[in-house]
Amino acid sequence: MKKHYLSILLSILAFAGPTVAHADSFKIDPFHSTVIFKVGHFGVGNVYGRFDTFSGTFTLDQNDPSKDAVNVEIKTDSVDTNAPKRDTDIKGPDFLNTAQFSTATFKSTSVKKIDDKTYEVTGDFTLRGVTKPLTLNVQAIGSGPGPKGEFRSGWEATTTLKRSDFEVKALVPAVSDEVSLRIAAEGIKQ
Amino acid sequence: MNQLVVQSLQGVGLPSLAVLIASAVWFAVFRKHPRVRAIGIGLIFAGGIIWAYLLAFGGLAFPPRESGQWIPYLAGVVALVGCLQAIRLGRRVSNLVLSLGTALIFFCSQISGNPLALVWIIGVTIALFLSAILLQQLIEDRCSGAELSLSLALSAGAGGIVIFLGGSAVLGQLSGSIGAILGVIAVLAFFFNVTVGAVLPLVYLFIFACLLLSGCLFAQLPWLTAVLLWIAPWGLVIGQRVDHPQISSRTKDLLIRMLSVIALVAIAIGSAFLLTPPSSEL
Repeated sequence: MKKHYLSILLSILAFAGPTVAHADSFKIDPFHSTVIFKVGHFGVGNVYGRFDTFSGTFTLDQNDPSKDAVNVEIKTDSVDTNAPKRDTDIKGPDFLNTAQFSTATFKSTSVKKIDDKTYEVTGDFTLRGVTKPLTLNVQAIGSGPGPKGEFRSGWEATTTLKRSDFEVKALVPAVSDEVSLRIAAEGIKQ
Repeated sequence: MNQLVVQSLQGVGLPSLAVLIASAVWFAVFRKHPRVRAIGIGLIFAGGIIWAYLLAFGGLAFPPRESGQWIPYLAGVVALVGCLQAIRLGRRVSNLVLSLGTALIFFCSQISGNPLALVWIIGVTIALFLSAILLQQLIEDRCSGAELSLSLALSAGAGGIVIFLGGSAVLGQLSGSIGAILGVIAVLAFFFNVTVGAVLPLVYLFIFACLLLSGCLFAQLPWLTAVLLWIAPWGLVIGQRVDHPQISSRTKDLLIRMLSVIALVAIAIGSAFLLTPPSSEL
């Protein structure tokens, strides 16, 4: 009889497929993730750029989402706006000053579940040596096995920040103070 | 008018106007009191730099986290030290401390894990210390107020152009503002036929050093351009008579004596155009 129950349990688990277990850790896969930003130009258009080098981890606790955690580190000198001269200016002392501040980081402090697919992740964002609280609106994209059988979980986070809050005040308002940030992250379960 | 142009004009014009009024009053009242005049004009100059910084950077950062954010504090400290020097403080020791402090602003954070930073600290300290002594003793003692201020104004003004070309509009604006402020002081010194003392060149020296170092280390300002601008004011001593210090600014030869300064500044600007990659349109 015990054997019968055990086989039923194993069958259920087998059909359930790969699921996110209690407090799983994920490492962001940079090849399938993107960090992009948008900034206004003279009030007439938007310029998009991206950071090519970044890393991070996140932890998912299905039983208690408030225990979820996110850490992201972005190399500021990897900024790319499809204009090398402009990138040089952005890396300079008027904007990111990458020679003195080589990274921007986000460390979550709290996670609030809005619905099954939507979360609000609040954390400390550090840019140019200034740390301020920032809330990311996070959308679950999906989860499942990757091409090599590894388990993946995909998310997309958006937020808008004022760069002047981080002492990046040059050329405001000609170059907008508000910067939209979008992080599309695919994590590989560790 | 373009927003950027308006902002830049305000950033350069407002501090210059304030310095014009304050300096004119100070020169008029203390025309026959060189020590008080030197202290006052040094403090007015430092105040103008701080206001120009506030307009360019949009405020003070406290505590300063990066080299450029030290500029307004350094201006105040150097002006105070200069005032104390004018009273009784020894120049050599205080200039050495200021030089070391300025070098540490740029390289202190890199000491751990980068032995080269120590070399930089020593090199910058020596360069600043020698420059301060030379500027205060050699040039200041042998030049009229108009000559000295005008040569510093040309260097700082050209600094504004080359730092802007090097990719930093904000630092360029600040350097341009300092150039305009010094230009205003030069005109007044010529009009009142007075010297400006040793406080003003001391403030100029450390703040302009910060701007040039920031331009070279964090933007794309060529080192050659920075060095040429740095040495340009020393061109004043060329052709001067050792036995005849304190040449009047009212001589018609003022501009001729300025020629070496103008030539060095022109070469510096030319080198920036040749060596700096063209700036982007943000």
